[in-house]
Amino acid sequence: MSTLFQGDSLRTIAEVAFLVFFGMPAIYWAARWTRTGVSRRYTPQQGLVAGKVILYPGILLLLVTILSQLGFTLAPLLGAAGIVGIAIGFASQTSVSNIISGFFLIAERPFEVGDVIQVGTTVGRVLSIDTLSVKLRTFDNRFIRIPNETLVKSEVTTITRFPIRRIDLSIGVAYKEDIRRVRQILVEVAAENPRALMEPAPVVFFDSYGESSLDLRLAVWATKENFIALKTSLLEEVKERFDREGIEIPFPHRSLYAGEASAPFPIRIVESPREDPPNPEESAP
Amino acid sequence: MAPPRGDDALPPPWGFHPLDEGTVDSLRLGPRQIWFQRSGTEVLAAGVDGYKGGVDPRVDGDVGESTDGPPESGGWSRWATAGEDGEIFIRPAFPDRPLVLSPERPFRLLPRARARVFVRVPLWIHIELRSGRARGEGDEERAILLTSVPSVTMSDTWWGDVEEGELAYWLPTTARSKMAPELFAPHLAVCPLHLENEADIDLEVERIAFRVNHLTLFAKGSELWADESRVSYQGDEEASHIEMTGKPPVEAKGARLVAGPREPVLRGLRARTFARFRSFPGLGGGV
Repeated sequence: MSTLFQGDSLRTIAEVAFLVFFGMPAIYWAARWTRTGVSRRYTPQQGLVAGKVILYPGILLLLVTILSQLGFTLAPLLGAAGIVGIAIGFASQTSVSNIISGFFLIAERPFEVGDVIQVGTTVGRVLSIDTLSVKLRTFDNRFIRIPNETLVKSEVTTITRFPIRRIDLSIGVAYKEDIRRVRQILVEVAAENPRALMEPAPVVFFDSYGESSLDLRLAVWATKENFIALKTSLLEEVKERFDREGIEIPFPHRSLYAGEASAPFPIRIVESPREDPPNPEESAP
Repeated sequence: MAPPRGDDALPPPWGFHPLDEGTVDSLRLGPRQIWFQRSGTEVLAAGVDGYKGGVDPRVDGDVGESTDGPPESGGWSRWATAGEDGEIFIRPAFPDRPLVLSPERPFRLLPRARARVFVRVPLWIHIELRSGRARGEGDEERAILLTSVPSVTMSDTWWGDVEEGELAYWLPTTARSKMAPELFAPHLAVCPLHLENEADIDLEVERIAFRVNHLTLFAKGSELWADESRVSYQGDEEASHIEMTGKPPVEAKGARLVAGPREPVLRGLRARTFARFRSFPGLGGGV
């Protein structure tokens, strides 16, 4: 510190002022330029990270240079920083873990800003992937912050990763129905809907003999943008078409048997003891 | 009401249609019926796909003044305009996405063989408001695109695999080798497609990606034609050489230019054009 008050102190102050007033804007400009350039060429998320990679080391370097100019010896500072670093490290394990997890998320790119993801029971659109957490907006407009560490540890489904998705509709029909005819009708319903992709072609699977119905599955492909609209319209159209064709969608029902399936259910009529009508003469006053 | 005027090159019902106050005018192109009217400075238009909207898909043409207006399924769209002048101009355009052609009878192109087939492509209807024309020859004509609808609603389809590809329209075609006069219709453009197998192996033509957004539209009398597309297969399933001539085909010599391509004509384009139909168990059929 004594150098500040010696003969060349004015020069030192001028150098520090120069570094502060020109160095800081230069670092910010370089970070912003890098961010814009990388965003244009790659993704906004990668641009954000590239900008931070320039900004934080740049500020650190500038700080070290200023301290050096002011006459601080860095060796004891670095030693102290090591000790402080250990203390902070113990105190901020979670934060550090989130920061490192954030780098994994950026490097692995399981999703990007704008993707729709599902984590546990939460589904939402990714607003940002930040140093400590990922921010989501759910479809009922709630803001959700998920720590990066949680995302690295959990199963994450990126719903909008691929351009097309398959819709599976479970459809039950009565046991009396002709499966071939039902299959044909379901394929026709899908083919008549312009949002349903013709290729990959719609398919009908016979899933199982259900408790009350023959269970079929109609698998139709749609673009991710049309997924919900197509699912809704197909459900409506299947019901309308089944009603028109007289195909029964059964309610759940249960058959009761007494003893064996082939024997009729036994019914016994129990007569109650007969009551004689009252004699009007006896009841007369 | 004055009869609709045809544009110099366009066969009716394409072209100009008067927009008179209080009168509902209508036209039909394929299964699509369109209504339009003026109400002060507002222009209203409605459209219905005849296969769905309760309108019989009859022959194309001018329906003229409509007394009943559109059915309930075809609600009116409204545009507020700058003035009370202007006319409706109905302009044809090719679809906004590639088509995936599915020949009803797939065929095989032997090595070094060529085939020339005709495909009838349903056109899109651009409804424009054109003004300035009525005020004298010196006025600059202004065209504002109000809306754009397909004459035939085609199903979506996917060209590519389930991880990557492009959205297209699905068009079953007979891919006939000769055109007959009765096959022309105002809402259909006839597109000659020249296929060439330059590879040493057979080419199974089951699906063709037809990039109609690069085609130019021509009119000869009442017939609408596209320029010829030449596709040569060189053995690489991922890319074929595609070229659009940009001129009327030989069958339509002297035809007049009606509409340029949505995207500029490409020469030397290489893109995946042919695919064989494959079925993936559990996934559905696919290409």
